[in-house]
Parts: sequence; C-alpha cells; structure tokens
Amino acid sequence: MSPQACPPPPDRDTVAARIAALPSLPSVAAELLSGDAIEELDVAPLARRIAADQVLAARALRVANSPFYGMPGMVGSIQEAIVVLGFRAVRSLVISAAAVQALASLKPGRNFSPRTFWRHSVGTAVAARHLAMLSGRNAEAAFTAGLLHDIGQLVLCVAFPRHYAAVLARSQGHELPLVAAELEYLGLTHAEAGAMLATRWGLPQSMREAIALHHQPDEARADSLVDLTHVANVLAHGLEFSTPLEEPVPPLSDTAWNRLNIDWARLAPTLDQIANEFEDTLHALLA
Amino acid sequence: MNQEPRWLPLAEVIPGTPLAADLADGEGQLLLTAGSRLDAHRLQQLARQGIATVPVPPPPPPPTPEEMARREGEARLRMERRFAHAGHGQASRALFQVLLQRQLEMP
Repeated sequence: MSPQACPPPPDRDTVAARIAALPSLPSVAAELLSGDAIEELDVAPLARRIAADQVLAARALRVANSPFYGMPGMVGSIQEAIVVLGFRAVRSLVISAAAVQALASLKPGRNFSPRTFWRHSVGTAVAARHLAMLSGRNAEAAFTAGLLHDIGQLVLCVAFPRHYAAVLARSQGHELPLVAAELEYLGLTHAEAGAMLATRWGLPQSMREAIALHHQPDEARADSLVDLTHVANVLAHGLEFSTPLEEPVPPLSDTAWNRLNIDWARLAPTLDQIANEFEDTLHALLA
Repeated sequence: MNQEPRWLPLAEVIPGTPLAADLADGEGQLLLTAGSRLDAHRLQQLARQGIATVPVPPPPPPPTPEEMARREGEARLRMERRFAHAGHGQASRALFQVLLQRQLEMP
C-alpha cells in the first residue's frame, strides 16, 4: 500500500475507543486477576468456576498435560491441576488460555498472518519460561508475559486494519523495522497498544510493563518481567518459529542480558529444549 | 558411488529407511526388494518372521573441508541477513555466534 492510500494516524482518543471495543477476558480469568493474595483463599469454588467454562478449562488442561510439566495425559481436571501443579501455575495457565480465547476469534486485516503471530507468541512464551528457570525467576509469569508481549500487534491490526496493512507492507520486506513503521503510520507502537489492552483487561502491573517495554528493557527495573520478555522475544525471532514470515532479529539489550545473569554456555542446550517444546505447547494452546 | 550396505539390528533402524539390498529369509525366499521403505509396520513384520538384521545404506561420507567451508559460508550469510537490524552490541553478537554454531551442528 502506498503511504498516500493510508489514512492519517489516529488520535489517542480514537485508539482508546477502538481498544475499548475489543473483547474482554472470560469472566473467570478476570476473577483470577483480582487480588494478589488469592492463593490464600479456598480454591475449590474457584476451580469449579474455571471448570464451568469448558472451552477455557480444556485449553488450560491441554497445556497442563503437555510434556513440559512431565505428566502428559495425567491431569484430568482443574482441581487435580491445582493439586499437582500448584495454584499459581494454574492461574497463569488459565489467564494464558483466556487471552488466547479472547483474541483467537478476532479477524485481523490484510497482510497479517494469525498463524505467524501465534507461532511467534508461543515461541516467546516457551523461551521466557526456560530463561526464567535458568535465572531463578517465576517461570509461569514469564510464560504468560511472553505469550502476551505482542498482543498490541493484533490490537492495532484489528482496530486499524488499513493503517496496519501499510505498516506490514513496509516492514515485511525488511525495509523498515516493525516498530518504526508503526510509529510512521499509526503514531504509536504495538507495545503501547498492547499495554493499553493489558490495562483494560486488568492484567498485573508486571505483565503490563513487560508488554510495554519489551523493546526498551533498559528503561525497566532489574527484577521485572521485562528482561525475560525482551530476551525471549529476541530468541524466538532467532529460532525462526514464524518462518517464512519471520521478522529480522531485533537488537538484544546488553543490560537485559547481563541482568538475567545467564551463562551463554547454558543457553545453547536450552535452545534445543525450547525448540522441542514449542510445537506441543502451540498445539495445546491453539487446538 | 556404490558402497556396501551396513547390516543393522531391527531395533536400530529408523522407520522410513530404505532397504539397501534385497532381503531374503534363512531359506533364500525373497522377502523385500532393495529400495523398499522400512516403515514401522514392516519392521514389526520382519521381527515376527525371525529377521534380526537388515541391510541399510551406509552413512554418508563426512563432508570435505571445502564442503564444510561452503556450508559455513552459507549459514553465516543467512544469519547475517537475519541479524541485519540487530546492531553490534555484545549480547547481540554473542547470540549471533550461538545461533550460527547451532545451525552448523544441525544434521
């Protein structure tokens, strides 16, 4: 699309209004997100409410039964998953499954490949989980942040299909990095748009920050989820999960990498594990 | 190139491997002709027929130094294109090396 065919960038109010019109998270996921001390409550009623959303529960259970957790086919219910994996892990799984459910039905505009988008998102999620384990951080939160880090691309593509078609046409030939093309045609980046949706969904501050700053980790605190999300995103591009429409590998921040304190020698074998788990996790979340 | 086949125990044959020579049973009865694919079902059949080893193609010869250099050059060029926007930071360059090495070690 030529720049002349693209409408002028939208103003902030229009962006906010279009984002407000996007689907909400399933209600039980919103419930899981309310209150940080929820793990202290009686989880049985909550497990029943998760199970009542059968599509959501099935998606979360498929992930719980994927090889990563080491119990393939053995977790039969949400209640069992909570006993075996712990409440925090199930909470993350349900939130991830809920986000996929809310977003997977959206119909994006031209040039945007949902398959490419989800392959990269799941690849980043799996990479983030492994990086978290290597650096002694919360693997479940890292997985969810990795999965959701690029939701802003889907947001912009659905809310502004003509603008985003121009963005993608410009960036897919490697002519211009995606973020630069977004700023040129829309005046904001997918990281900003994703953070706006994360706020609307009530995602935790740590998750909103990971989405907002995954291209600018140097601006984040050292102990945040941002470093994991940033490095995982770069690794997922490097491992080419989205081939053939893979974007070029973005710069890897020295600050983010050094703060994670992972030895390069330990990363190399982990890349094979990430690649091995990728297809199973993709199938579990999106089947 | 006409190299001798190697005889592998059935359990070590990767399903889908072609048979490198005709296969007969102990009485000389032809069971399979050269080129037949040894899928999982056929491997089970052969085990039931008392066959212990089968002829499969020999491993490919190790690449020559020239071939190795050509492969590395191609992999490096491809990786450099992928990293065209990755800058020259220390972490980016280290990741480039790790991914290039991984690519070169892939079969």
